Amino acid sequence: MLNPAFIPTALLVQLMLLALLQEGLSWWSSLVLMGILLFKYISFKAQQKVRMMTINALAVMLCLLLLSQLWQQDMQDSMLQLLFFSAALRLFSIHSELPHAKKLVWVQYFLITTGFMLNQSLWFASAVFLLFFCNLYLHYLLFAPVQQSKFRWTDIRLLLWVMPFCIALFVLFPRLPPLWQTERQHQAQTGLADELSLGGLERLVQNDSLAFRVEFANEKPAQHELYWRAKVFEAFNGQDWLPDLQRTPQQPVTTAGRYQYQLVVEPHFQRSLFSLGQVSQLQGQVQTVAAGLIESRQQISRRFSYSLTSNGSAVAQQNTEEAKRNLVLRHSNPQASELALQLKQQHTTASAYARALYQYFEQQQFSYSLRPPVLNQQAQVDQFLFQHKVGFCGHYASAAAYLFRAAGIPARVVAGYQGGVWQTQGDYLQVLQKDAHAWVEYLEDGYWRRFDATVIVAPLRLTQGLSDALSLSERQFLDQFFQRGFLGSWLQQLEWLDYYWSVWVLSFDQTEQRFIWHYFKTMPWLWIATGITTSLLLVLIIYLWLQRSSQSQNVLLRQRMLKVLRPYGEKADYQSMESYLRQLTALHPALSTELNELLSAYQRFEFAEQQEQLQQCRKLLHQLAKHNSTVG
Amino acid sequence: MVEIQALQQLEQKLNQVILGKPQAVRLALCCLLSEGHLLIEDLPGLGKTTLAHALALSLGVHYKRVQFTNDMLPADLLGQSVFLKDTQEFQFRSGPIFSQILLADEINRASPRTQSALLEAMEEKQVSVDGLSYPLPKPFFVIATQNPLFHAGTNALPESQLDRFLMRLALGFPDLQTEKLILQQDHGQSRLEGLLPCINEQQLLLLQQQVVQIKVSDALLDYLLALVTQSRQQQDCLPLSPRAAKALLRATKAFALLSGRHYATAEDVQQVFPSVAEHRLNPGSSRDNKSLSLQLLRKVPCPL
Repeated sequence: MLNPAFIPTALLVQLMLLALLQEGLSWWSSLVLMGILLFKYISFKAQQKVRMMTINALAVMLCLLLLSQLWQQDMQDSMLQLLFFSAALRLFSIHSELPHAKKLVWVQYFLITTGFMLNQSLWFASAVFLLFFCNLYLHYLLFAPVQQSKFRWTDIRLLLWVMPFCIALFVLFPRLPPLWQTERQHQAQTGLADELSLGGLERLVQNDSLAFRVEFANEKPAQHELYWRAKVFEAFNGQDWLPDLQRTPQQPVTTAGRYQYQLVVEPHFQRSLFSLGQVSQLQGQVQTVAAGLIESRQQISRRFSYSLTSNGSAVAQQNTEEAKRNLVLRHSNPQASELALQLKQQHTTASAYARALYQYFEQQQFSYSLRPPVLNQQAQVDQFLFQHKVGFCGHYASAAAYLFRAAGIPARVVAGYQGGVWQTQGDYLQVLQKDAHAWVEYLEDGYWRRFDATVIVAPLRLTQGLSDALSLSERQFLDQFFQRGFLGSWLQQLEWLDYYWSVWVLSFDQTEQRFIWHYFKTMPWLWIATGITTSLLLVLIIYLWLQRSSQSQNVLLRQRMLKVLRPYGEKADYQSMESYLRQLTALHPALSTELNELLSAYQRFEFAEQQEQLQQCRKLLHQLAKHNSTVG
Repeated sequence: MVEIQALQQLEQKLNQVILGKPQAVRLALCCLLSEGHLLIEDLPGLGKTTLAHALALSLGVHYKRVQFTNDMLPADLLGQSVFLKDTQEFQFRSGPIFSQILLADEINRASPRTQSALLEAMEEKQVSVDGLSYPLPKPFFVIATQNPLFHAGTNALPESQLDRFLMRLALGFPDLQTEKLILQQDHGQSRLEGLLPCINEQQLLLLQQQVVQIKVSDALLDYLLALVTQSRQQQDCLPLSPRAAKALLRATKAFALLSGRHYATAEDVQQVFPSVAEHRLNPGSSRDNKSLSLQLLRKVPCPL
């Protein structure tokens, strides 16, 4: 006997799930699922039973379809679709079978949780929780009496009771590493491409989505020092700059640093992470690799948080190999090489040379634009430097690095992000994809100094962000949406909430647990309070347990009877056990012997107080339960 | 357990007289076994008097029948003291109430005065005339019948007097098949003829003693009390008194005995509850209206 509200509610839950998991579903599977749900709704309204044959045939067809699509899509998404199909088809087949409905509810719990593989933002999490409660209600309907389809106050109270335990589990349960992982094949949509061509960052500049967020513990660096290093490119093939790094983990240099900061990175499906200058300390699942960069141990496929300490100074040279590598110039741009030699003759030291380059960029009327003219294949640096003189960070970095190398000064291109917007609400820095940037590092006295020609060409780009470097009309358009008015401040508040959700909930890991533990140890009164609470709780639990065991055998037997017999039919509250059993006998004539025996044994035990009948009752109940499980 | 067998035989025989009403017959017997008085209320011609007669006949005890009218006086029922010229003293001439079963037909036609005389006797099990008390025989059992209250020339029994009746039963119309059978078997002679007593006075008294010894578990008492308490919390009915609770318990026990058990069950309580409680919860109601008591039963959860 299924609660009549079950199927409509289950349909609603699956519809919501469909919306929630949209990102992981292909268009055809969404369509198929919609179709199944719609068809189920129609057959439910018409009270028609769908034949099992139809459902099985449909299932086989969908499996084949999924298999054929397997090569084209992500493994994880395929599995998600398979699970969703099975849930939808299960719902399709349910008419009034309780055991099937139970399975469905559990599969739906699982499906809801898979949502976290797709997205971890606060809003998504709220949607997941909402769906979770809907499913919980569905679960409740499985056990609620047929007439009762509303949550009662006692049920809500029970939920509130459970909350502290959930929180305690969240805080205290050991964070286990994942048992298995699948690499997701996502196109990197950040400033973290594996190569940097002369027009490479173009796409990003228009991208307003979030890259990462930073919170500084104490001192905040000035805006023009916010160069977030992510990638270093050391090999130049005439068009593109490529990384030439061995991914050898290096021992971090642990010294005191000026800036302590925590970063929350949006998933970008790579391992690169962001840091400011020389990193002196790190926390979390991160490691240092060559060129003073930071990397995660795993691909960043969900929001990821780590803490760093930087001293804000230039990155130190690691070995002589590095200097040699960064002098190589395989492709010639004759004009540029000539210019480099000229300047080098006048300015012997590297820093003087750098100043001269700054001057050169200033005097030669270079300009900043997001839509520079397209360059030919040959001698691109020459074309940029002497012909067009228009470009963005990628062009300037590329050209400057070439000029350094041509003058015999080791130099490399660094890509990452520059700047960011300070959120006044939460006092954290928000770095967007459009803050992607590229610049140059040249070697002098064992340190890699920063050289950013964009500063000269478009100073506003640096100090105030991209929007100020853009034309007035573009800026007004941006302002309209993000800066002013009620909507703007409201959006900022939401951003702020989402940030702290990431910091406090998503990035809660072993380190934080250990931190809580240490904090705990230093507070004697906390110890005492916890001790008292725990012992009170223990006393309460023991008391309840004793209460339970002091409950008479009769009550326990009655509870057991209700539990075992429920699948056979519902007992109304006011119904006596005798009339209930007689009703069941009428419903299931095949079981009449057992039920009648149970009735007489129960009556003797309950009313005549013949204790020896308890055994008989239990035996019969056991038989009935077994019978039920074989049937169900 | 000869008595139980005799009892079952008795029930069987009654069912042969009152066709198609096994529940009413069992409840009537139950009322009798629990030493309570029975009120049968229904439209004329549904077999009230037949049931009362059959009960009285088959019990093998001394019974009298009184047809109540509106000009009947208490003395007509109880008896009166008569002056004897020979001995120069008063002698008490007992009225029809001095019997083991009194059939009080159409009790609501009598004047309130006569009604209360009867009801006093029912409660006290004795009659006081001219300052002298005369005990009534044992067992003493009143089966009263009454027409529905809306009928002409009736005086409704007050609540306090209704309360004296352990049960109020209604027979209701027979179903089609039963009625056909009744018509087929109508051979011009009363069904009551040839009905012989199945048990004797001793056996009846023994059975009544057995009722008292029926086992009632603690949990069952709790359930019974929950029913009574619920009636006291409800706005739309009169509360059940402790006397009503006692009546309910006795009827439950008797019902268990009639089912051949030596212990009472929750189902027994539920079976007797409407007949025991309805006229106490809702004295104004009549005939087969058991709605209040059934509502009450539905409101109280029964875990047993």
